[in-house]
Amino acid sequence: MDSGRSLRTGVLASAERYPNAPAVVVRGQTIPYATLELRARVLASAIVRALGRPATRVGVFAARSEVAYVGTLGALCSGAAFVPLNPRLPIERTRSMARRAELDAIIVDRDTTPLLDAVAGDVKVLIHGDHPGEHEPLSDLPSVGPDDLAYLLFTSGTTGEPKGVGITHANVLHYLDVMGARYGLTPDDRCSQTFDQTFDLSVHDLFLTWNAGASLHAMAPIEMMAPARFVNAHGLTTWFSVPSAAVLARDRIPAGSMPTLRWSLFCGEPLTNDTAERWQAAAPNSVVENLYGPTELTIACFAYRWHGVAPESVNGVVPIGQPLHGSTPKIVDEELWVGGPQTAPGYWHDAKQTHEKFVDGYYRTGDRVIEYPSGVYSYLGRVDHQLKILGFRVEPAEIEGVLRQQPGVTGAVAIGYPIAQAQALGVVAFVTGTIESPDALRRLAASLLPAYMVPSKILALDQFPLNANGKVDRAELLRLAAADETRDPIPA
Amino acid sequence: MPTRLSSVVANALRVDPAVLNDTLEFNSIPEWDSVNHVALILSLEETYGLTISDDQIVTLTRYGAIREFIEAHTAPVRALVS
Repeated sequence: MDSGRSLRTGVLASAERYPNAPAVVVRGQTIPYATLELRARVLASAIVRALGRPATRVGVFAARSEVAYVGTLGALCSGAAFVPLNPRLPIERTRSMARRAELDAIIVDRDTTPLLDAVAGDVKVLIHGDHPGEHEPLSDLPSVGPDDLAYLLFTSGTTGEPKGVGITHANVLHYLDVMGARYGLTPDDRCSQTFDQTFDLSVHDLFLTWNAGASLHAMAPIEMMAPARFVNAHGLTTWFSVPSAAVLARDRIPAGSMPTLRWSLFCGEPLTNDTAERWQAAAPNSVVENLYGPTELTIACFAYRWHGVAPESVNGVVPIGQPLHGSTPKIVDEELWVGGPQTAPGYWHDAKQTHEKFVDGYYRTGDRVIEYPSGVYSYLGRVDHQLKILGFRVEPAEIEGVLRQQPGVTGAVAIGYPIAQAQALGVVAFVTGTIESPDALRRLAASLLPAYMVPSKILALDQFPLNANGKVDRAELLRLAAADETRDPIPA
Repeated sequence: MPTRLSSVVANALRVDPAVLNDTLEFNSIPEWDSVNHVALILSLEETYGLTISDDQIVTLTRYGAIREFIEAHTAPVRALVS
């Protein structure tokens, strides 16, 4: 029995209708819907009994394992918002997220069990997702309201540490309703799962698939190098990834190599015309769509259907298209603001940043856009220095904050470098102060930041170059990074 | 003294050859990310004149596996030449 509609409702309905159908295929194991539901209810039971009440927030410390999927539904069944934690992130960062999320419980898998002590802090209830003990599956699930949080994610922050974004059940149900109607998935569909669960686009993967009774096919990171192999081995009908995945695999997706796909979706960073064209040729029976939306606007709030290079294309990039049903955009000094039912209530425990970014029911995206008379919007760039690296959102200020806290460092500036197809592939940092070993500084940064935020190189300067306005000249820093590269050639 | 293979791998991953050992694997250090992995595969193909298939690329996730793969795929060529 489940009262009121929430994020778990669609999955539980699919489990009732299609108990024996595959819900998840991960690491060679297939989890049928009935098992997904049973294991989730057992986890929920373990959590609720240990707490003596429904949970509010539950960490799922697992990646691309059975527990990562069962645990997410288990957290929702315990009445909680799920908070994904990723073993691939530095442990200190994960501990900080767990503490700030004020978790009631953490669910771990075999891989993360050894890391639990380092992450748990004050969290009292620790559940082993692979063997939670003998518990009757929870039959009466705690009620959940539309304004309760469904999930809480952390994204790169400008203040030197990650910031939490809480998304309500009403936010995410609206998204799933709109996209469910748009894509019309059925139990016969087989969908990719490429995104880490700390990335909100994974919520599209899990719940759009499960709402339809379709099957979700988890890819190991290395399998992303050869997408056609995976698509064909699993007979996938739906692909969803960051465009970088297609860029990296560009030489391994010959024309016609992925005939089973009927939907090819990209989101998380600009999709170039070249990449869209190449993917369309490789998956000729699919409709290619470019989705757009920051975490604060619940997964995606714009979409554009590819029909060849659009007249509205800017800088060789596919337009972000038109707002999805319900999302209400406006442009203020070139910046895109979006309101509507998918706009998050604000940042987690951060009234100041909430006040700055959420204004009169709109979220200020920081993205510069243009709206054409056709109603199509195109992305122009950022109003600030935020980067997207392989689809991951990176605030240079967060990297700079970490570097500035290290002994001897008086100033730090991080820039995206190198740039390929209008996208940063990595980060290079410049520091001032008394720096004994830039390499040691880099190793220190690697222990505190996710791999995609660690500067590939840290260069010490006497002082930062300034532009005519007296601000740090980032264009000059880009030239310095390139010049350093030519001094340090990769041997043939 | 770095071997030819360790130089190729270290250059592609932009690390010191000294950090390479048979158990080092994809995603275990910041430098061995997907961008550098693509550079590594291209570099191996060019250096050794190989075509690495999709089935092979997903198995080449450890330095030890790469070393064994290169040894297995280059030895017969040497034998033919000699």
